[in-house]
Amino acid sequence: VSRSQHPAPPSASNSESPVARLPSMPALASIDARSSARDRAAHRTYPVVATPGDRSFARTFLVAFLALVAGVAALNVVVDPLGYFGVGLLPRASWDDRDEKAKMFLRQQLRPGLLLLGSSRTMKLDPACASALTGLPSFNFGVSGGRPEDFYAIQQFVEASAGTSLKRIILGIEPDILLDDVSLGAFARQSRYLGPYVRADRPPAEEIAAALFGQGATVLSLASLLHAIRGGEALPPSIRLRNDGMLFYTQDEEAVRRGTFDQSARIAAQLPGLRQAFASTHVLSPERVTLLRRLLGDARTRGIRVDAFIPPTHPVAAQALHGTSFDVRLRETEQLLRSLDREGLLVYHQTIPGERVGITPDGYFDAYHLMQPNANRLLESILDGKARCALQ
Amino acid sequence: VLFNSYVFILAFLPLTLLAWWTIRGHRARLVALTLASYLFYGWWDYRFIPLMVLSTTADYLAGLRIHRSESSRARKTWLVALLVFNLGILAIFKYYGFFIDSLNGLAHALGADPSFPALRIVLPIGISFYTFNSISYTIDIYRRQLRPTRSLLEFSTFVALFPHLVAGPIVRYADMDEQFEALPRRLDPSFAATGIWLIVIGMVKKTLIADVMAAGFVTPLFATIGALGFVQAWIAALAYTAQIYFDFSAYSDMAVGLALLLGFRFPQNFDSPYKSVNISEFWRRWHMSLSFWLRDYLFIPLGGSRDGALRTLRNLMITMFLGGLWHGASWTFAAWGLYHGALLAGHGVLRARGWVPRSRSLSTALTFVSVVVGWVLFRAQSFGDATRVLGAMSGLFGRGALPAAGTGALRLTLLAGALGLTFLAPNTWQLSFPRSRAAAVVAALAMFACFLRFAAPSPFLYFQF
Repeated sequence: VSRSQHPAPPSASNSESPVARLPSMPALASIDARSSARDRAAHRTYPVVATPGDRSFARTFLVAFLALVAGVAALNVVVDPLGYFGVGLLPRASWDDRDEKAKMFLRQQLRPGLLLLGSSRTMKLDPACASALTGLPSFNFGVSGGRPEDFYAIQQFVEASAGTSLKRIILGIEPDILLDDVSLGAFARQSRYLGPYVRADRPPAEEIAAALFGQGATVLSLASLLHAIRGGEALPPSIRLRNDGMLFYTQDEEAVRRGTFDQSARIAAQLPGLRQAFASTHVLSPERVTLLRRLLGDARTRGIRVDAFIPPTHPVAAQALHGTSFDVRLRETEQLLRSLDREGLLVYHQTIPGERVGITPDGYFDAYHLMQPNANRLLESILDGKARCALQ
Repeated sequence: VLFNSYVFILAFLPLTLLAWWTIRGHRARLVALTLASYLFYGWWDYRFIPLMVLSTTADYLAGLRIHRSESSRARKTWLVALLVFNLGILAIFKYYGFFIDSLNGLAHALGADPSFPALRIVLPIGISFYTFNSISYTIDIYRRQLRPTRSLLEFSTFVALFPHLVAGPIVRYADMDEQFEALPRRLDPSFAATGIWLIVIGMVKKTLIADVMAAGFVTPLFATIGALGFVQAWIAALAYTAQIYFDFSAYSDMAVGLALLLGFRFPQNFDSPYKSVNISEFWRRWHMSLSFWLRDYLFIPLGGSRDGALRTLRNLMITMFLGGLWHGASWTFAAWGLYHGALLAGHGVLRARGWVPRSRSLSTALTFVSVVVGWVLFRAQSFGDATRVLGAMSGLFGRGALPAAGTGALRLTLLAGALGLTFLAPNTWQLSFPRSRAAAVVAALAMFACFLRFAAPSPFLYFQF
């Protein structure tokens, strides 16, 4: 005996949605509870059809899928494009500015007195300008996505390779680089030069799985493989690095010179991603803040002065981010820097909003990245320069 | 655990299937499956497992008491107590903050200084689904349409069964009791092959279509609502229309496929809803398990369409209002429900008077546009956002720019292709899947393409409901 008393054959009147029939249609006016429960549509299950090929289909699928998974894992371990497995048999095809700058720094055999550190938002700060204003040999070691663990590793790398000559650090700190969105050391560990100096978390299982099987890692591995077979330029054509680490956006800067650069389109394209990045609540990462404090504490012990600032954001982007958690994180970052200033760990320079230090809205490449005149104004304001930086 | 995650595909699923098909003994197998399902659920937040266990035990015991009671008064008392318990849990965990915010807002509007305490309670994932599963069990027993199970273990397995646990389909115990009674001892190859195909199809729908729609259009456009013109607003609405269908039907396909790998059959949840020629048909094809649940356990008990036009309208609006609110604790969801209630009522009236288009294509197009407009309410974070998007769709804020050539054009082609599939292609349940070795390799390659994208998985939309 079946324990349930349905399904039973459907009737014409009971397979309708709630309003399928109104009382003005007399023949269909009544639905009772029991008839509705017998509706066949509510209980229709998938029509499984047995075929002779079912077993071999399932086996072939499993074997093929597992072979693909094992293959991609092996490729990603051998090439190790994200630096998780310590293998890395092939040079990476991707441009890694951490490695490029490290190589450049070693080639220069420079004993820097001043380092410019930060994310990509500091990569247009001109070391020549810094040298002119301070008299210290300078190098721009800003790196894309740079976070406190990068700065810590860079400082260690610089001192290991050039000795303890540092007198001053100019440090750009925006809220983005203090978030807990990626594990500690996730970017820096990918660098062959900085990797040994990175204070990294043991990566979470999801990150290791992504490095083993993820699309990003796989594309990089395949590109590295092709790169190794064919050879080719490591630097993308849109970017050039000067010997002192300063970055040039060659194509964009050429477009600016020709008057064809469309800043508003660039910012508009960025806004959705920026809003999304700050749509959910992040917190400032306690680990990153602690690491920043340690870096600053070490610097103070060794008599290195640290000047910190928050890189400004284009007013349109700042307006678009208003109401997201960006405002809160920005305030928290500013409070943190002021508090570190009071503790004597750094000197905080208020550079936001950008207008405060003479930065003009038309002098951005996009929502974040400054063109040279703005970058120079920013540096002059931080270094309290009486002289002006020459435009490159 | 997400279906589209490495831990699910490489660890949870193989180990669960291995246990399920190798362990001998009815009870032992059910214990293993229930524990696996709790692990699946607890992976997200183990603190909510006791809540599900409590709800399961209460429903099980109440089902037995209702069945054993001869007095209709006692039966009704037990039923009401159980409904209050289940809906109370839902009210506390899902709607408490919403009610308090609304109350505070109302008091504020009336000039009072509200101070009702607003607790921010984490919404236990899937609570709406397993609560509805359990309620249907108790009501079916009350109606004497179902005999209760004597096994708490069996009932626990039913409630927690991981394929349907967090995002449906809403399965009724009546559909599962005989399946639990005679558990298959070995995996039928036809179930395995069909299950694999359904999982692959679902994964492709989710990873390669829904997520692409979300990243390419929906998220960026809905993030800049204030800048939308006519073109972008329609693209946003249409992209969300595609996203929600491919996302949710993908989950249902995978749920049905995973159930088949365990030897179970789940009911159909989608039947090409955008091909519907009227809104009534749409609701028989969209999220069918919820539609039928609302009809059988809410609309009909309210009186259905038995007592005149006004009462029918009232019952309908209550049903659709609560159906809307079931999706989320927000007035925009309630408004979406009422909007569909009004569409259903309007359609009923027009059809009764014979005022419906004769052209099938025109009817389908009108239904589709009505549904698209509704999705704007569903997706928007506030009435202000919804009004802004609907205004832009009406042309109030200018034409807006067409997406740029290149990637923009490619994405538009993808959007057109995705929508085209919903109109022109057969749905998963109408497909006949090839079983050759070559087909298996193609399926493996498709699965692998999705697998590579698990590194940045996005949760299914219906998880939040």
